[in-house]
Amino acid sequence: MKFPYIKVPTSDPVKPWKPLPLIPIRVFDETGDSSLEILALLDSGADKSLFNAEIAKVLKIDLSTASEENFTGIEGGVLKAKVKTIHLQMVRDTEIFEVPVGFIENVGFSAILGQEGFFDKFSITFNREKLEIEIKKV
Amino acid sequence: MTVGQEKWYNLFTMIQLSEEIRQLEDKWVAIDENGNVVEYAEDLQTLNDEISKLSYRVFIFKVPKLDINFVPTTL
Repeated sequence: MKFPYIKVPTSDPVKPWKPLPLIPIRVFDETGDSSLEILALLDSGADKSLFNAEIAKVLKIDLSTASEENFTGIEGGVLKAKVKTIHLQMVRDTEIFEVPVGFIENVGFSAILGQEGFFDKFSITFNREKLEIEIKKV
Repeated sequence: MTVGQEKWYNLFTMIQLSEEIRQLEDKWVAIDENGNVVEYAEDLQTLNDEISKLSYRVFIFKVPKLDINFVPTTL
């Protein structure tokens, strides 16, 4: 499957738009009966996938039994995430797969797809020149 | 690439988000397949309630702060 990079405007209208590796995914609730379709950022440097906790709330994913894990970035601060394995699907693909996702409260992004459960399941090629991402099942 | 994959790729046509995104930092937005904002809200529950009334496909995205470079990588 190939996905185009999606160009996002910057706050300054004079500056060029930023192409981001955003792909459309479907996030399922625990029963598989309902889902949300979101744009998720591919981040090969992230150990795990991280989602905004509002997604879990809307899909009624029970985080009371989720394990708590700490995450940090280059700034060194620590974010606490509730990690739960959920089901995802790339939009218009047929396969549904399991991914452990850390849900974080009060963050300014919707979803990041990282190594465990996503990059380790697929061969992913970023072609920035062609503004194209190719994802193949391993 | 197989014929099927080529067809799939052509079906996903979003290559850029609408300029309207500039006014919607920190908001949850619903975007159609051409990148146009069709709904937005302060929280995802409100947005989801609104988009459940739509008859066409939209994708959800929380608009990041656009004047700050984003380095999401966890270590």
